[in-house]
Amino acid sequence: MTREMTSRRDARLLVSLGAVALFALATSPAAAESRYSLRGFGEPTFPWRADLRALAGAASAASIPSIAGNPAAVGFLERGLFTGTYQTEWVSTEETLDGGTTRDRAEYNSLIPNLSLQWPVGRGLAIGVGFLVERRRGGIIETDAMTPDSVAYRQRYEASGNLLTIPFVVGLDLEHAQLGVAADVTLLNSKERWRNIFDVSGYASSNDLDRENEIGLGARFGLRVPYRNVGAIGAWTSLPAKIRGERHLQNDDIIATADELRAGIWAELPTRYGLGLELTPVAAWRVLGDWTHEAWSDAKSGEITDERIDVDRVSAGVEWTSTRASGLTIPVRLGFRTENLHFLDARQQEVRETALTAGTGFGFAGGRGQFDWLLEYGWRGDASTEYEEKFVRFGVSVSGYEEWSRRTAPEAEEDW
Amino acid sequence: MSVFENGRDYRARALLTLAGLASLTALAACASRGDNGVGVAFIDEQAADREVVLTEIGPPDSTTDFQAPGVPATVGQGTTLIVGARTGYRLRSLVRYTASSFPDSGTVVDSAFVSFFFRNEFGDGPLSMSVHRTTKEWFEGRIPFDSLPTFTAAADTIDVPFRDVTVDTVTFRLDDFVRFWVDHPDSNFGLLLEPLAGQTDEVEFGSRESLDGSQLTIHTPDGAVTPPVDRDTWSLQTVVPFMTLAGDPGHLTISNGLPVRSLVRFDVPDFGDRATINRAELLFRVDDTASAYGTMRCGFQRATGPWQDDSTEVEAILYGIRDVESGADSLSFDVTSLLRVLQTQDNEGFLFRSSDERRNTDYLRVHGGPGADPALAPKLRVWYTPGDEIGGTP
Repeated sequence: MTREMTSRRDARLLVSLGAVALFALATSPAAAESRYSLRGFGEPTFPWRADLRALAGAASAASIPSIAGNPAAVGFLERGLFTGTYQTEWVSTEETLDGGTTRDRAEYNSLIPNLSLQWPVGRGLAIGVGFLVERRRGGIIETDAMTPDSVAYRQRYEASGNLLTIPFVVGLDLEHAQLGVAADVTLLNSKERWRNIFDVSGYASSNDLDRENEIGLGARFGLRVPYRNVGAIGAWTSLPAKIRGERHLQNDDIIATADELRAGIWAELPTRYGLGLELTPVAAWRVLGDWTHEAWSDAKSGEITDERIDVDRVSAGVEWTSTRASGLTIPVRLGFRTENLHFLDARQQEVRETALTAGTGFGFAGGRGQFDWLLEYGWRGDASTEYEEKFVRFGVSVSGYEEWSRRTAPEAEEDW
Repeated sequence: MSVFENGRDYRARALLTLAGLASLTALAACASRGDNGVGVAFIDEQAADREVVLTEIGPPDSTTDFQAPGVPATVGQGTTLIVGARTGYRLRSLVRYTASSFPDSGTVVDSAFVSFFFRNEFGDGPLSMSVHRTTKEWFEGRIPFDSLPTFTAAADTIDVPFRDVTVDTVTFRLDDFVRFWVDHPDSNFGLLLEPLAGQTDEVEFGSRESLDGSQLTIHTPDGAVTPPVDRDTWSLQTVVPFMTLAGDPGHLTISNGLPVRSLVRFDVPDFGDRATINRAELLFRVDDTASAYGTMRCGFQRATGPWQDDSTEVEAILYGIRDVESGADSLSFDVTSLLRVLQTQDNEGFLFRSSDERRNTDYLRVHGGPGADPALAPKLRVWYTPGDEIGGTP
């Protein structure tokens, strides 16, 4: 097979993937996320690459380069790496009302949870930068209501937003250990709209918009210590980041009684720390275990919101790599994670999210490209909580590797 | 190792992956089942501070009613002619027919009839009225009683029966009148209708501005001629015992004829920043037993200056014009768009009035003013959505 044919097939594969991803993106409705995403800072999106996601995101000690989680993971880089992930999700929600009747919905959405660029700069030092969607929120709720004198109207609530991180990560591989530090620029944007809609004449509808934009700088520190060739432990932590910005209250109704309001606001993101273990007892196997704690109850906020509680996430993954006679390698990845959400629901109940993950991938372009996909099935809440949700996520990551080398200056020509 | 080093593996996995992704995407597009009603508990929490609130403001901060000094100047352009008498009033109507449309002088007039088309009534009837030939020029504007043109003795009298559905026209035979007008075109000043002494009822006929104005038919040997009306109006005279309708204890009054109008002002509270006024309504409770009207057409204007009875400055626009039928127990006006004006500009209140004061002498009384039952006093009812607030502490 010639190299020209190889390039053509590479191109066809990427074009096909791109077309499908664009189709998925185009058909995805906005604001169709988990109903629980409307509380607190939204639902976590786990902005790792698909291979780590397939291992349930047990990344604290994993020897897989990543700018999310433990910053020491950047230290593994031997070549420049570009990664992008696309994810589509189906989520079904069931709500049990007071009378025992249930209502349900099923929606889908899509997301690009990460884009990253990492490259080694020599002497075991590597740096990474990117874009991570840490959390998101979205949804539309509409209900019938009556004025005190029994005139019917509709209440409509719309929300959207996300918590983004732009990390600048530096990792150092000391062979016996990897160290990492990251500066995270965090951006929060949120939009909530409340409308009281009258369909009868003589009544004006209201339309109130509440927008927030905040920015802050946080820091992460991480360490990974391998033990011979059979395993490693990893630990990392993030300092609480205070984000500050502006809240913009607006009413676009012409008969509103006062103008819009802009006010400074702030919030504190929680301290996070993670502890993980990687075991590679034999060459074809990798076992990962992780515990992450997020101290939401200590994170202060300028606004009273839902009651927050600390999050403990436990995750575990296993990867088995089959090597064909041809030399092709096919990894099979399975994972499990469970955690509580960072707030109490309407019934003051803790909500647990649990997921099973799976995935695989393959390399292409002579090892200069990597395609990974993941499938995740999970559930949130139970009969005692506000909603029972089930979700299926399908995600793909495409990674490209490139050698980075210092260009040699051309020899100076003899001066005539 | 590149996948292309084994073409079969590559095709199988790549196609499988693509097929799976495409299938799941297509499935997602077909399987969505949006129900925005899911989230009842959440939206109930949110609604606690955002649901529509109804507040009633009342009694008014201040009220008054006042008698206008005279009949509206545009009375001649109204759609009615009024004849009759009520306590304190006497009403006459004047009509003139176009002289140029009459037969030529010297034409033999066999007979002539004047018809008036019945529109409304007040009282039990019948109303006895007489018809007179006016002998002096007059114009269609307001004619004060002491400026009435001279007129002859009654040429005819007629009893107008009330509430008789078989009768919708009052007709006078006026052969001599018309012969006089034919022979003396320069003395054609029209006719006057007036109630006989002792009458207590009132009747409305259509004026030339309506579709059923008065009709004169002149029969001659050459056929019938119907000269059109070229001017008509009515005149109001106050008589003993005239008492203004304004100032009745516990009431605010609006009336026609010699108009009475009311002023009300409410202290408008602050509904909070960014609150949306969903609706604002001015509510009056009608005292039907203290009123005398069939259908009262009324509205309101925004007062823009200090109250000085008839000299009070008001906006030209008459808002919320509506008909109130006899027997109504309340009357409301949508003042949503004006409420913000009251909040941001001077709040001088509203002028409540009839919107057709030329029509008749009906009057409508609502509870209000000094001595009124506070529960029945006028109210400003406001439905509003509170604005978002920034609150809470760390």
